[in-house]
Amino acid sequence: MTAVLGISALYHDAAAALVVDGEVVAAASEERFSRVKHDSSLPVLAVRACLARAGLTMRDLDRVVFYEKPLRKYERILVSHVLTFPRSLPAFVRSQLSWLTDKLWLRDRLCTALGARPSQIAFCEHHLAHAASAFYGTDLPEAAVLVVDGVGEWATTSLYRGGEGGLQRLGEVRFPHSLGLLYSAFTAWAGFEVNEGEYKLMGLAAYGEPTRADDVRKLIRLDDDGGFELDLSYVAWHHSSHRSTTARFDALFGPPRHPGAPLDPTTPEGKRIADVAASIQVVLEEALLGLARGLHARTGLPDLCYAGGVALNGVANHRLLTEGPFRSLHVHPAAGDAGAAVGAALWGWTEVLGQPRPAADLKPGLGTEVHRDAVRALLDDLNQRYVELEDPAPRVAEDLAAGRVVGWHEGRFEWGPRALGHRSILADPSVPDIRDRINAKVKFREPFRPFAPAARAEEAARLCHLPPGGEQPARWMVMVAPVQEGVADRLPSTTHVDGTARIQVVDDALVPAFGRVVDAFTTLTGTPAVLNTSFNLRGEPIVSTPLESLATFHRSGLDACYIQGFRVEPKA
Amino acid sequence: MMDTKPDSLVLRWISRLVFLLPGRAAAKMAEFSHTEYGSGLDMLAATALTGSRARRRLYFQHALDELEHARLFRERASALAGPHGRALAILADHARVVEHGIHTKEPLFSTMEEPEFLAFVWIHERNGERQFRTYADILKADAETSAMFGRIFVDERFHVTYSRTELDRLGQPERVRKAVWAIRLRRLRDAWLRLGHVMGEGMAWLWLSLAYLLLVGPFSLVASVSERRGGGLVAVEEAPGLAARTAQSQG
Repeated sequence: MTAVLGISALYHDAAAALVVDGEVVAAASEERFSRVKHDSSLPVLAVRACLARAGLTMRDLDRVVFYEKPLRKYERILVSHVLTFPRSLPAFVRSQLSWLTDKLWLRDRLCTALGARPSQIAFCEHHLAHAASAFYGTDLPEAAVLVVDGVGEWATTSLYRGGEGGLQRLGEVRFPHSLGLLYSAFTAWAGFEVNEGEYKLMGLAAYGEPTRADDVRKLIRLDDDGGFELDLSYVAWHHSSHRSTTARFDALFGPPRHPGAPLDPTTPEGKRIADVAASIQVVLEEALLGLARGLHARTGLPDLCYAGGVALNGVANHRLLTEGPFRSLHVHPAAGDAGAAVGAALWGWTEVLGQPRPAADLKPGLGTEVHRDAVRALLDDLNQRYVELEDPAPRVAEDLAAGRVVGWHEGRFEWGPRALGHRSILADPSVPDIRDRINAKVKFREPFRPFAPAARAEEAARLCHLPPGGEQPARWMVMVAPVQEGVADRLPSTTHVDGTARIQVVDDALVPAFGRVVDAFTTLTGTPAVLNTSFNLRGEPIVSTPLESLATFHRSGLDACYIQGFRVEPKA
Repeated sequence: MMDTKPDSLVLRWISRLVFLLPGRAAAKMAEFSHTEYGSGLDMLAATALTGSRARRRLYFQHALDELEHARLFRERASALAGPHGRALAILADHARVVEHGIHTKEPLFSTMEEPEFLAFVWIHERNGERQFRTYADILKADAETSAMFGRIFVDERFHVTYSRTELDRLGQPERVRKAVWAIRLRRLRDAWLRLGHVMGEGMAWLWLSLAYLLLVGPFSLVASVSERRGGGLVAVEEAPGLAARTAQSQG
């Protein structure tokens, strides 16, 4: 038995992933256990859960691979502060406080917090970990690999060739020139939380027109080879820890939206923000297409593997596939920093230990689960009203057909930020006001944000213009596609204002129990899709345990909650 | 009814002054949101870990209350934030659940015996009840905030009552007394540590600022001569397998 643990931590989303004999047997974000959204602390609880799943201890591991080279990152931070003296004083002090007291002693911390031995620990470059998550998570023998995020050590964008000999880096764009940080800067300007609100900016873009695209292009120069360079006079992330844009940026796009201000895209102020959102979205897509063409020209390979936080932009992913040079697109489902834990483990397995490549695709259910008997005992102890069902799918279908919104908790929780049918809130997408109801009474979130339809492959093709080669991102809900004619009227609650949907293709190989729900609902109603959104409330991580599902259920306006085959009723 | 205990009077006057500061009420709500959320997580953990069926139900109800309070405080913080971004920055800083709440990675319940846990809950809830009553009174001109505190206050009273009842039921009087004092000492120690942390951070800011001015400044002059921060794609030629061979290195 050979086992490698991958770890991402200390910046955004901490996570752990365990590869045993070439298979990813467990992977989870720390936030799912600590219940702290975007928990970036060392993933002690996630590591514990991964090891428990495999019945291993730290001593059994051949390698523990951290997802970046900390000293190289420290060098970048110091150099950036030196080059931006004296503006970088607050950022320097803030960063040194965390580096000198914590991050510089990473090897020791991994040993004390996790119980690892120094000889077990390895460090993988950040973008290499992302690239490994995208490439080694597929069964492609060779592929072009693109990584685009905020920043790793120095690289903000990297191009790789993946093949027999491993991952070979071909080129990179370096800090402070960063597409991810640029998109996040617009996210902050639009009044959304950085690292959380990028989805909202993408959703808001549909309400606007790219009338400011030429202004956005003043910030970025796109090169013929796919590279890009930013005009640094508009941005501040290389010398400030609390602002990502400068006064010049505000002079160009107008004052930033206050985070607490109401956002109604039908008002002139809302339209102003939405137009800028649409403009940065278009320019981001142009930059990504340039990178894809450059990478294709360098490698000549037909398939693209893609990771990094920017790869979660489902709208851009669709354009990358339909207008780009590649015949297929493979996006790591947890493309952000959490996913680099899987990448670090897979890289450790293949390239450090020299083991053969893992062959199988990833499965979504890589988290923990609770046995049915334990769920029954919990429901009894908490005096819940419930019925036990051998096959809950027909009953879920009846609930949805009756216009009810239900919680759905089944099996191991998902890997990545998307609920794919293990921890979901489900509803009938043909009910026109169900979207507003879920936004207002169940999830307490912004009214303009869309929900996703989940359908079988053949139905999905009738609902959306799914491009050939986009099967993998559609299965993992990381691609937004235009809906077919007439679908907006049939599925109003899952069709966005611009006539698109972030469809999930439901595959029995990945989520069999959820597939039965979709089938039962389609048979009962003739509606070929189910509305699927994550089982959580605003500001909270997606639920993990049955207890958390119950707590979320009783604090929301859900009509029923299905937990491992038990249908739980709301409190009388 | 107005609480006329001396410590409540002090709290009332300090709070009254503090809430006069622009954006302070919103920031306070945001901090409460994290604290209540952290408490809710600890009560959920207690629900999962206790061996008593009766207390499991009580802890679960308590957890639901705290998580709901967190949502209420979050909404009020957002509504009151106005042009002062501090409250929203606090809300966005999810790590504060750990730093400023009572929640840590190890559930509180698993770090102490159940009587001590109940003593902890009782003392915290009793203080919370008193604090919220004061705030409700101070902010009575703001009908929505005052109503929210009124609603939370009812829950807090229930938490105080049940935790004390269960504490008395669970332990011998002597053990209960010891548990309560242990928790009081623990609170003092935590306050001392927080103070030390704030002072230490202040000192570190001072020294690091000096280091920046004295060390980084001269380097920046040298660096500006050879500065190259151009963008564009940089071709990388790397020997195959190099990354794997240097895997042990942090740099």
